[in-house]
Amino acid sequence: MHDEHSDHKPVEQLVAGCIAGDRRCQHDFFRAYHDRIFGFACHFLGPGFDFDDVVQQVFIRLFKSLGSFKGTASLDTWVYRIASNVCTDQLRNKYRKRRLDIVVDSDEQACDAQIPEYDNPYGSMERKELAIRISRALALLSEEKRTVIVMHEMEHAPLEQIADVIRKPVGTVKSRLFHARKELQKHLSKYLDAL
Amino acid sequence: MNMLDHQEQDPRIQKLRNFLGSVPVRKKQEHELVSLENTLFSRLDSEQRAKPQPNSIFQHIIESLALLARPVPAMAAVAAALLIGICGTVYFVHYSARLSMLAESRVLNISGQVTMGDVRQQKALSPLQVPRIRLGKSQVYETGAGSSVMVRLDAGSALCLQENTRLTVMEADARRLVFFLHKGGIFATVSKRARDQVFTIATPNAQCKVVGTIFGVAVRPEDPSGAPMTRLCVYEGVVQMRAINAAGVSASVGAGQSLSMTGANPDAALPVGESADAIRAITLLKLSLEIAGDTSCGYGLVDCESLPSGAMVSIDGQRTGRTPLILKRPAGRCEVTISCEGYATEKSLVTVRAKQATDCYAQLVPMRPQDARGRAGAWHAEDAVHGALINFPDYIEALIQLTIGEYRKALDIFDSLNALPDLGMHEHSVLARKAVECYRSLGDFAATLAARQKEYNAAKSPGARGSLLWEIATIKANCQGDFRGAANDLEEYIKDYPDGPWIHEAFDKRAEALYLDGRMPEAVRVLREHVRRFPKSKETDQSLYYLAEITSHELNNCADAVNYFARLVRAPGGRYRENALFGLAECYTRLGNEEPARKAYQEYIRLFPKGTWRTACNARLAALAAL
Repeated sequence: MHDEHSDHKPVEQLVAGCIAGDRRCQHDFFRAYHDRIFGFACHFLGPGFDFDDVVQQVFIRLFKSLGSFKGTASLDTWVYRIASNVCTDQLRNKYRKRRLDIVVDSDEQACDAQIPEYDNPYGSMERKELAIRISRALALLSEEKRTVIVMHEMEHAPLEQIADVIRKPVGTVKSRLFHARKELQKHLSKYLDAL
Repeated sequence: MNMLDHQEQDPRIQKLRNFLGSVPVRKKQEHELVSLENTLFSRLDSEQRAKPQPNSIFQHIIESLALLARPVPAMAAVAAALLIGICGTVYFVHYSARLSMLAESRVLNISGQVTMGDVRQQKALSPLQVPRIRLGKSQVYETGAGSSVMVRLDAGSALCLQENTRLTVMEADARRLVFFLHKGGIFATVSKRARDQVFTIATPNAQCKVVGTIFGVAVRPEDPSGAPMTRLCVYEGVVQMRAINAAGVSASVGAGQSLSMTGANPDAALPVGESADAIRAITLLKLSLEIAGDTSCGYGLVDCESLPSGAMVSIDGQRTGRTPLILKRPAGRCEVTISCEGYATEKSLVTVRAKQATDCYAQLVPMRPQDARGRAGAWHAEDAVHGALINFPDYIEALIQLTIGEYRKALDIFDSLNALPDLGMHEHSVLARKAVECYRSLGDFAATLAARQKEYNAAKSPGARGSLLWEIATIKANCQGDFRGAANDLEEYIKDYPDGPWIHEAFDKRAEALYLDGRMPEAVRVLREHVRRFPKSKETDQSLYYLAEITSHELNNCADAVNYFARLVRAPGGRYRENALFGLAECYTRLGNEEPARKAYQEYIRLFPKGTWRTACNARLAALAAL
């Protein structure tokens, strides 16, 4: 995975511009990373969150702490690390506040918000159903395992990058991935058999 | 093979991985991204502004005290005392401004009957008071039938109270902003709130807690069952709705969803219906916020509506769009014209007040013959134009039919008038012109052309003949595709009217007609002639560019094309300079002159770093470097 951003501005220049408060650079940075952060947040948090707000919090933290980016890891890795920290904070806040009083079927609503429309309504329903099942199964995993499986299987990040993000050896990442897959297989077994 | 690789061989795991990899995420559209980006930057700015900087003030105070403690000259002591006073005042003003979230609030606009006051006593608001009113705790706003009021809360937030609405400001401090909606409806756009800031709209039976969004709340104090009913429509963001009487019953309502709550019972969430009123109110809110934040204070809004909608709005003679339309205009007077085919045009003088919205409503009346008759006076006033015809009732009737779009009927009457024996040349000419107007409106270009040709044959004035010839040629070329005929007419025009008003256009049009007729060498000759006859005219650069393009692409004569392109490149500020520079480089490449081609490509990239051909130039330079 390489650092991508519009106009192919060098990373150092982009980071320096963002630190200096240059709106153009901040715009480029936002556009370069929005989709990836949004996708990660949607997959990691599952339904029941204001993803736009989460993404904004990630960017605010990124812009505030860009000064501490030393360039030892790649910018992508650093962005994922912050996104992962913000999302984990969100999850913990939710548990702490015990927001279990939502009466509307927010799973479906939130999935509606994050899943694009398809031409075939039956295909759309199947996908929606599948997405809801997957997000419920992901919600049952521990944060560590969820980070690894979302980054590897849904965001297609290589194991080495995940190891950099969570600051653990690659062996630990592999072990977590192995167990996360096993757990998901267990939670989704009926659904996997049915399809 | 390790355990992970072994696991990946399992077909069930492969299926699981496929499922996980196929969970889609909705891609944000451009306008959503722009909105998110703006919100993010405004949050960044507000966090930047909110950074406490008390050290500087305290440092000033401590330093000033230290100065006073030492034996210092009297002047220094006075300066220090002054400094302390100024710092104290600045800090006090700054602190007091942050006391309430409504410190920057004000009423933007009122329409109809609006009252303001406290719970016991309320007074009617007048438009003159509007700029001076600031929102505060315990204020009550009430709107009558057909009335509305728009209120700015801060730089990114505003409320619009609809008709028959009563709203009370319950709390307004640095952290909490709570409104109570007794009845009626509001639309609101709210900028993102910090985590510790509360923005709530309470109703008799529910609470709507806002994070940062655009939404509408409507309250019916009592539905048929006797319980109050609150309806929440969210257009952007998320609003949490909670029943007041039953703790714990709440719902998060996302964008595009609406939720009704009767008493303490929420209904199922439904999609927000498309409502023109809602769209209009939100647009008005957004634009009002925009002009309210404009420090130049020079703009206001004109809210144009018509019945039927879809009418064309022109301001000071310039077309601006179709109703319903909300426009940002500089403060001052302007003439608004609302017109719709088949309806009488409405004109009104509107005074646009700075930072306020001005209504402009027109109920258009269908144009009928008897209505159009009202225009007869205006036609009579132009008797010099119409001549003796104005005395013929049939002629007036024909003008009426022409006005209401009954071209066939008008044409029949004009034809019957044309047959009258006592009409002079001027009257025949007027009738011919009117007939042409009818033919053009009916799309009958053959008849238009025949009438114009007849007129041209009869005309004696050189000016009129020249204009008619030009018109005939353009009708042939543009409407009938008769390029050969058009080229011949234009040749005649160029020969007979060498200084005519359309001479430059005639050269270009003739060349275009010849080009479209497939006669390239002749087209080139015409363009060369134009450039030769008017070497210093600004109008010839188009001919020169066409000449260069046809010579290089159609005649494959790059050697000549280089000269034409080079002339265009040398003209500073020319409108074809960018394309000409690229064309020049391309011609050099085709001629095998690598060094001049390289220089031209490099010159293009230097002069037009964001130009249309920059990618092509880079590719060509890379290809040249590889040679």
